[in-house]
Amino acid sequence: MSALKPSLKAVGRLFLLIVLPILFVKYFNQYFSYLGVSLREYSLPIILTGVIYIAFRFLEEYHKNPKYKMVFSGIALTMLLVWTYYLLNRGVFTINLKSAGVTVYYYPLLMIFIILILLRYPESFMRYYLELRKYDQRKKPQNSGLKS
Amino acid sequence: MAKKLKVAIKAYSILLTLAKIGVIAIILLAAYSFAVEDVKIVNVGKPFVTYEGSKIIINIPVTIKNYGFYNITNLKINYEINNKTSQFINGSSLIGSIPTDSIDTFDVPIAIDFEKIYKEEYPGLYHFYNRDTLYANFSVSLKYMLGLVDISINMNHTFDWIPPIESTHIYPPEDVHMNSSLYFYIPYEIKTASYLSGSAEILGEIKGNGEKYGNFNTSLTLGTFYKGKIKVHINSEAMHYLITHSMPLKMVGNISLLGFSIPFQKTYHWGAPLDNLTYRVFNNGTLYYSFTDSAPYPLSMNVTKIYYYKGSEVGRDSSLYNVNPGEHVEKYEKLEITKPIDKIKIIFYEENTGFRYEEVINL
Repeated sequence: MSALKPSLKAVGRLFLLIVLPILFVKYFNQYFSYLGVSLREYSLPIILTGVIYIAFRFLEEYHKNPKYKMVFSGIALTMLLVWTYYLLNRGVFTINLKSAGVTVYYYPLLMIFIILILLRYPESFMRYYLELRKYDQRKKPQNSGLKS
Repeated sequence: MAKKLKVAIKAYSILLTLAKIGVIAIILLAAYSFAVEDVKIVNVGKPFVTYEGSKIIINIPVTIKNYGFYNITNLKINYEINNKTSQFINGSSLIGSIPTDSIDTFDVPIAIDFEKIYKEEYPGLYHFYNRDTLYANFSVSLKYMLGLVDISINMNHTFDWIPPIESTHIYPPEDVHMNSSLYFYIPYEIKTASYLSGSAEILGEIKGNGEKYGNFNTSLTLGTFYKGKIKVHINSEAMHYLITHSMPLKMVGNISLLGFSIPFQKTYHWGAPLDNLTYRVFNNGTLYYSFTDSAPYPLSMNVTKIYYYKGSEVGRDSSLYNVNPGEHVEKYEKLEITKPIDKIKIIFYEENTGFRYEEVINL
């Protein structure tokens, strides 16, 4: 029963983080000649990092122990970081129109996104640190009750 | 302590969310500007030509509207023009910035450095005389969205290279005149590229059989289809030879254009009016001479024979006749003199052109 909510969230993430971007690129490839990368080249790292992210986010949400949650959250955030890097195509996108090729370089913007993700590490750490303290406090009386 | 940490996490989360919203807002505002065409190229005008030393600058006026949320900065144009084998022209031009809420028209200059082409192609100077297909790659780069995004637009275009000298043609010599010297006019046509203006000088020499026979000079108007006549002066030493000898003559010269001397060479056929002149006096007192009028004009010949004895003129007679172009003349003329003679001077005089040719026969 407790796995239902994380599972639904994982399905939602799968759709949002993997299916939707790939469909978007596929749509673009039909209308413009290419985005600078092939669909296969673009999709593979997104699927890999996306699946790992979804799996660790599932584990983070499913697990009770905040210590594990913290670890899973850290791994998930790292994967999200890599996923973002590949989703934004390493900071360059090329669209080939009929008469012109438009290349957009947005590496500084990509860096801002990555910094924003990096800033989520302390948030996650602090949140789970707080939960861990509560978790330990809850566990202590249980242990002392068992001893008595 | 835990409560304080909880508040801190909350505040941190809020700040982080606000930062995310801010970044997304920045992106959406930029995307909106392009989507509703607040930022777009409004017009590409008719190119016009300016000059800068040996450079011809083709300016293309471009109007860009920037009603978007951000300034366009670092607007730069790069171009590379190649033909099938090598790079022909390349260059770049920094246009600058277009602030938000403005429409700016600027000229995109494409500089054609003729000095560079001249140095690379001399003496053949292929692109000064010949058309070519050129492949141009234009690249427009700019910074947008507070300098966070660089946009580069690449365009390929194929166009025809029009050489400065598009075509030249010369016609057979006309208006041959001779008094103290021989001179004539060579009609010519020259088409120069419409991007040129002003005038050019043509200077050169007439050569035949490896020798210099004369010289010429003229000036022409550039940027149009020009028809003119080149006045050719023949040296006095070569004058008599050319009256009796048809041959290919070479015009070897230079066209002074854009500050350069562009060599050219044209060959035309010189048709001599007394071509292959031969003469002989027979023992029976008959003068024989023959020639062909290889010139493109008819001759009104006045042939005078002056008879001498011991250095003094003892008599003369003359004959008049017309010769058509291409006509072969063979004359047997009885020497109308009863006195003794030891020398005959034959003077061939053409009344229309005024050319005069003398031969002396010692008996």
